[in-house]
Amino acid sequence: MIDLCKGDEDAFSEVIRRFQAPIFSLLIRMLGNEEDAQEMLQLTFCRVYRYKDKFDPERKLVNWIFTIASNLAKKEWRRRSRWVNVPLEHVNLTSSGKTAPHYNAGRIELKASIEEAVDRLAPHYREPFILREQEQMSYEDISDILNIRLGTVKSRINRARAKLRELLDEVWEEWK
Amino acid sequence: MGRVEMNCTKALKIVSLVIDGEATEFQRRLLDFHLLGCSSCRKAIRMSRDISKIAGNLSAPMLPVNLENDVRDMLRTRTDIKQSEHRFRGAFLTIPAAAALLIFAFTFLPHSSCPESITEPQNIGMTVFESKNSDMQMSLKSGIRTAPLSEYSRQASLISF
Repeated sequence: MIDLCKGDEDAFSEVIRRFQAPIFSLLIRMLGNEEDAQEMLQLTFCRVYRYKDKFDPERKLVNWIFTIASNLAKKEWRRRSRWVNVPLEHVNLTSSGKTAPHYNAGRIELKASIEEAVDRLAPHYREPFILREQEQMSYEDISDILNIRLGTVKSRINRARAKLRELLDEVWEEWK
Repeated sequence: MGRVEMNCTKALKIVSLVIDGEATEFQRRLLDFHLLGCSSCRKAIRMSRDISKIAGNLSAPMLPVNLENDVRDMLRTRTDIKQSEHRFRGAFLTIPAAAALLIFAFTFLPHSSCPESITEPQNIGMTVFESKNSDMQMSLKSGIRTAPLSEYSRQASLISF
């Protein structure tokens, strides 16, 4: 990042190469479609470049970039929710096959159901859950990225898990 | 040391911490003790572990090709600034538009809350009551008749004596 601040263009390429996958993954989960996620991903890196001088060296670079992406995703979400009102909660998933599935087939089905259930979580529960489970971030880092208190991170992740247990109860019973 | 007990709500909060490896030794022992006698929490922890394991390996999306070139193009042509302005312009326009509508409504539309337009409730009991208390006041909002404020103050002063 220091190199990037000095105007090293290769450092910027390195930043893109290192962070594009996790940021894109988060944006897709947050926005639900590839097109918007791609656009937000481009905007994220544009902002990283434009605001590189404002980067606080005390902060982790990964946290700073995730904060930019998260803020853009939230803005986009707010813009969208003004026009589209999709109920994200109180949806119970049901297993498509009622017969006892083969272990692997069941696992694939469970995986698909988990993906669907994660997408159905409210955004403020989904985001910390994804950062924790997919990016393996610590509670402190999540708190820094989302600019929320540590206790809030714990409670949101806990609620996300509770909601997922509720949504996946039937599928899990069949799978196990 | 006194006996420490835990209900399922507290246990489930610790389940999440245990899965993330953020629970203290004391919390872990408390949970273990609770799990010995609670089948629903045992199920919850097994389920959460499975979900966590699978959620950690969810399918990674295909990365966009030429991302770096696209970003550099955007930076060169400054389309990122124009694009974000265009995307989020709605938020800045909503408040002035709402304010303009309100001003228009207050200026040009007739006031619906003028006292003449309020209809008296058609209640026979009320008319009997009205004849006894001719100085009762009617609330504009609810249509409920109440005694004037002076009545209350007089009553209060009498009570105080």
